This record gives sequence, C-alpha cells and structure tokens, in this order.
Amino acid sequence: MTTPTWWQRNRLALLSLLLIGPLALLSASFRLINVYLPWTYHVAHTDASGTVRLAQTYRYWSELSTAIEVTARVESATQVTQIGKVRAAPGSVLWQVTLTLAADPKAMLDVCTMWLADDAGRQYGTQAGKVGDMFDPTWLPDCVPKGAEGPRYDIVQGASRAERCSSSPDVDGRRAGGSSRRGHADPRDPGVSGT
Amino acid sequence: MKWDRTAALTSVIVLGALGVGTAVSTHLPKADDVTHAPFIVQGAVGKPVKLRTGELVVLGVDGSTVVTSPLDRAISKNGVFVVIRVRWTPSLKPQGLDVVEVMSASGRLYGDEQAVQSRCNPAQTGIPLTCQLVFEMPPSEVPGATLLVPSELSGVTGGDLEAHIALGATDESVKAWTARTDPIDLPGPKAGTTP
Repeated sequence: MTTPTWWQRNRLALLSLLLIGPLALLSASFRLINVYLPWTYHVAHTDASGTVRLAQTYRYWSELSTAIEVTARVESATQVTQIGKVRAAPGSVLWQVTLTLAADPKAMLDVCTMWLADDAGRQYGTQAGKVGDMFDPTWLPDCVPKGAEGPRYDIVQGASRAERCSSSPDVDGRRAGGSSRRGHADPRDPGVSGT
Repeated sequence: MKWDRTAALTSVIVLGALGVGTAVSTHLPKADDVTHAPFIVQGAVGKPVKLRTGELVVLGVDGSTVVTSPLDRAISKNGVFVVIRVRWTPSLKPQGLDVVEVMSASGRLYGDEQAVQSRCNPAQTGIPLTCQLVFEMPPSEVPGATLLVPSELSGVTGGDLEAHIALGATDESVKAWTARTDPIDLPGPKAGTTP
C-alpha cells in the first residue's frame, strides 16, 4: 500500500475552501446589510385601519426614564391648491393631512416631526416644496394643543417639571386630543402609507 | 524529522505565500482609510451627477469681490467670492445641501460659515431646488478647484457616494473675478421645476 501524497490527503480541505470562502464573505455581507445599512432612528408601524400606536422609551441622562405612548389616526388626506398663502412649488402638488393624536396627560411630549411616504419609500417633509409665504405656518406640526402641554424635562434643574404641569387640562381624559393639519408638497400623487 | 523533496517544496511555497501576502498587505490601503473613504463620482459643470440621496447639477460658476443677499452684503479684501449656482433634487428624503465644501487643486478644503449666508435648504424630495453656494477663497486657490458634495447631511462619507465636480475655473477667469467690484446677487433658494 502506497502512502497518500500531500494533495491526496488535503484535497477535501482544499475543496471545502471553495465553500467556506464565499460563506465567510456572505456572513460579512449579511452583517453589513442587516445591521449597518438599515440603521435608523425609527421603525415603521403600518396599519390599514389608519390608526397606529407608537410607543417608545426615552432616557434623559441617567436620572429620568420615561415611556411615551401615542395613538395616531389619519382623519383625511386631501390634495389642495392652497393652505392660507402657502402654495405648492411649481411642478408639485400640495397635500393636507389631518391627524388625531392621543396620549396620556403625563407623557412628556413637546414637538413631533411627520413625513408622508409614498409606495416606493420616498419621504416628503413639511418644511419644503412650498411657496407663497415666507413664514409658512405649516412648517412644523403642532401636535400638542396649546394650554394642555405635558411635563417637560428641565435640563438646567435636572428634573421633570411634571408637578408644575400636572394640573394641565385634559382633553377627553387624554391630553393630545386635538387634530394636527400639515401641508406636504409632493412632486406627484403619493400613496399615504404612514406619517 | 526527515526532510524529503515534498516537505522542502511545501516550505518554499508557504514562505513564498507569506512573503507575497506581506507585500500585498503593505501596499494595500489600511482598513481605516478604506472605511472612511467615500466612493467618488466625478462631474463637470452642466452635467447631472447622481448620488445615493439625490441628483445635483452645477448650472454655472461666477465670481466677484462683492456679494449681496436680501440680508447681507460682503466684500472680500484679500480673496474672491466663488458663487456656484446648483440645482439639487433629493430622491429619498427631504434634505438640503448643508455640508458642501470646495477643494482646491492643492488639496485644501474651503467651506463652513461664510461671510454671507447662502443656504440651499430646505429641499423637498423630488422637487428641484435651485440655489447659490458661496465660498470665499484666496484667488490663487481657485483655478482647478472642485466642489465636494456628500450623499448625507451628516457629512459622514465613509462607504458612501460623494460628488466631485470640477468647477472649470481658470487663471484668466479668477483674474477677472478678482478685479470685479460689482456685486453678485444671492436671491436665495428657489423650489420648483422652473429654475
């Protein structure tokens, strides 16, 4: 019986390299595609009924952790020609979206940012694509009704000003019961899939 | 250990492979350099450049020692204002051009806050925004300069597309701009399909 040569002894290992090499490459790509590229500050919640519940926990330094739970319902989404003096920029259309937001009166809420998204995932904001008014009142959504603001975190004092705001009037037992109307200018007709 | 021809040949191959590997790794870019390096998209005046987040066209380049905006007027005593007229169309999300820079032929970067405000925001997805970018530069640095536009507002360019658009400025044009004392007007950004 002859002693097997180096190539005979190692051919299986060499052949397995053909499989292991691409697998190692794929595992690195998997991490890039699934961990690095989709890294954003938000996760989409979709609901065909037009109502979504958003929940998130915030941590302010090491002293205060607060949970926010907001229910948002789309009341209407209408294409309009003008909102006050605001018109769509040439070549685009203006959409007015009315929302009802509801949250616990003790929730720390201040401002919110909204976008329209079309079927392709493109986002449209409230701050651009409009002409006609230098002081555009639809620039930022006013999600919290005036006079019924909730507690805020006091950066200087390092504490929540919840006590000061605890006597704020509730709206139907909830704080943010009002509606928020925003104007979005889009270059074409977007299917509203979320805000 | 008994040395035969096969063992000697294997040793030579292994040592040779190690030598080749060392030589290759010495000449290849380091991991940090590659991680932080952008993918550069070359462009020129008048030619649209597609980035991951939108499309940019440099419509024209002008220069003078005086620029005026609705709020500001600035005079450059030792330099020259390079005014770059661009049309930016975001394709994914609403974002303006906030972190653009000009790189001279010698490799120096010019940008950040300028003597006169020249904003190119806010921009809406799919809607062209025509605006002027202003850079005050030493005249000697302008010929051969390039406009750098990253894909993201964050200015993090590693692994992302970055437009490098040759401005086409020559010694003659810069000489004319340096001698010029009539102001270039900066009317501000204009949204819409008509520039």
